[in-house]
Amino acid sequence: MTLFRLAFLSLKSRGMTVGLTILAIALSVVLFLGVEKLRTGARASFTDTISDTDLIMGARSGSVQLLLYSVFRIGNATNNVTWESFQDIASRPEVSWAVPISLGDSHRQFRVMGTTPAYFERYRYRGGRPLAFQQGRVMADLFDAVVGADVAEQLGYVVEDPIIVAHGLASFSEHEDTPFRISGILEKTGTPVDRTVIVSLEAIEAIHVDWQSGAQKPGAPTPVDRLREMNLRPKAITAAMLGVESPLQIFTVQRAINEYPEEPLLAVLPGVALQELWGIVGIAETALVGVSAMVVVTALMGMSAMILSGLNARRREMAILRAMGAGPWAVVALLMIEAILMGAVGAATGVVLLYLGLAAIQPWLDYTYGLFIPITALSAREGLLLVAVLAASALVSLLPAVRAYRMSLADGMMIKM
Amino acid sequence: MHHGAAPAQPDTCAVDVNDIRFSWPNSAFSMTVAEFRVPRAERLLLLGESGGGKSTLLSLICGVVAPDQGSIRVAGQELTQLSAARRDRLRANKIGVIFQMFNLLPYASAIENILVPLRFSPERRARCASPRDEALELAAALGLPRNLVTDEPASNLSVGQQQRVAVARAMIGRPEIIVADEPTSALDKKAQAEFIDLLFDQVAQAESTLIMVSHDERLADRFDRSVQLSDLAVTSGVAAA
Ligand SMILES: Nc1ncnc2c1ncn2[C@@H]1O[C@H](COP(=O)(O)OP(=O)(O)O)[C@@H](O)[C@H]1O
Ligand SMILES: [Mg+2]
Repeated sequence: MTLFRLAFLSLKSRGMTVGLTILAIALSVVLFLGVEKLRTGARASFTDTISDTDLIMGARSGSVQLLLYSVFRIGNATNNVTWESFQDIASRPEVSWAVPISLGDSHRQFRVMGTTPAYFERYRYRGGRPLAFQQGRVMADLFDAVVGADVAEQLGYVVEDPIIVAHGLASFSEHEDTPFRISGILEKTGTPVDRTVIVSLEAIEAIHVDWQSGAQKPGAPTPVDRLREMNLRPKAITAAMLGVESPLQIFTVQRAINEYPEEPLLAVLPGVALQELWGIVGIAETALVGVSAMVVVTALMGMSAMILSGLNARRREMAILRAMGAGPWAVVALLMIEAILMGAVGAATGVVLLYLGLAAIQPWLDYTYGLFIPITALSAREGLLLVAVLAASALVSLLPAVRAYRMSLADGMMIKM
Repeated sequence: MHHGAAPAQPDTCAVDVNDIRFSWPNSAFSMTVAEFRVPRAERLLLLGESGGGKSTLLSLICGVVAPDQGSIRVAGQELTQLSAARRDRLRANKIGVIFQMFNLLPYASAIENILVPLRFSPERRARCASPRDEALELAAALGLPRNLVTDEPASNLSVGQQQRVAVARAMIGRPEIIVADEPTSALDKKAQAEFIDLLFDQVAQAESTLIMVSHDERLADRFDRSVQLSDLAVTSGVAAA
């Protein structure tokens, strides 16, 4: 009969209280690990959204803002970049490729993005993966649109379906007179591309021919045939993705853009802007991690209180052990083993609940927030938390253990009942 | 395993107490004992009023507490020269203890209870070739049904059965001394007699010394000797209890 078995049997005999204590620890571990998984998952998913693009260029604003609206479709550009400026930069010898994008329209809850066919070649995600089509192909006609996987899935689109593009975000006035046709549906990427409707830059121009400052011009709309004959060269774009010939030239091009004399522009390195973003988000992350760590501490203190409150009822148990030859330290060890056991079972239960929970909410998070949390093994940091829970269990059991030590010294081996 | 300067003479006494004084830290109670000897293999009955200090004397003999002065030799070892940890070890090795009631860890089975002392005593462990078999043998000799011993938590046993499990636990590994603190007070008269028969059988087989405490003088004629605590010890502060 080892102390370990004694501890186990004693815990088992107090099933209800012990069960609740373990559950509290398990839930706190789920919370902490869940926050960790979401946090790292969100970071990874952001980082995976863009790769192989050297610079992002837009009107002068904050670099985080530029990154957010151009890559993540979060927020809006305050200003546009004129087509001439874009052409100017794109034709610099150091620039190997340039893909303009034009944002501002929407289709249902999805953003519409105007760009050139080069986008489909140049856009890379998750360490260099290119976009791929599950159906159809790149836009060939002025009124062709390519939709992301989520758009097609949520709206039930297939290739050749007509779609209507609204002007402005969350606008009620739709461009009913210019119906688009779906030419292709992209494979799922786990990036904002999944939730984007992609059309040509000319199409964006065409939509806006009859519009001025957000309102339709009076009179009959321009017929589609006329639109096709018009010069639809874009006047402005929202941002552009740039590739540079040699990595050494990235900063040359960046400086050239930032010091562009004709209009105020900004160029950012996606990685650097992301770092800046993490700097901002980091404060909230730290707070979240801190709060969930406190919840773990609270659960462990609950366990300490539970052991402490049970001590009086267990004086006899300890007196018996003392009479059998156990030193007071064996009593201390017994209580610590009990605490560590509860901590271990709580942590293990927490890990199981975490993975069950992740598996359950993964599709929902992906669908609703475009946030794909991969189900991965515990990271070193997460493993460390579990070790910390065990260590802290031992630590918080010291208080009841020391008390039990004193009690059993004072009681001797004869307890009057 | 001798300790300190005191030579381990071939003691004829299992317990030899001389000129001790003791008082509980948080109580007004104090006692002095001039001389108390228990020869080896003797069956001794210690009688006395409740609250008189019988259990306190047993705690001293068991080395759970140490006297403020004087000498206590147990199985040839001078307790006052041993550290608390070594006294714990000596108790584990040399003494089997039986209480009045609630002897057992209620959540463990009887057999697990019987095996607990071996966890703390390498010496008694070494005397058991197969601990489990010996525990079962003891339990059988004490008239305990086997399935009750192995399958039920101790809390499901009757008081009489629990006391017999306590005897088995005290006897396992055949310690030199058995200390029983009012083991029969919770039993009716018939069960008392049976219990003492069983206890004596076991003690005789193991050739152990028995020190049993009771306040029931009618048991005296069954023992080799009976002693009144009041003839042995001077106590004070009893009223404060
Ligand atoms: N652990 C203890 N701490 C403080 N006082 C104690 C303790 N155990 C016993 N006493 C006191 O010692 C006195 C003798 O008690 P005890 O030895 O239990 O008597 P008996 O066993 O003869 O009934 C009582 O006054 C009791 O209150
Ligand atoms: Mg007593």
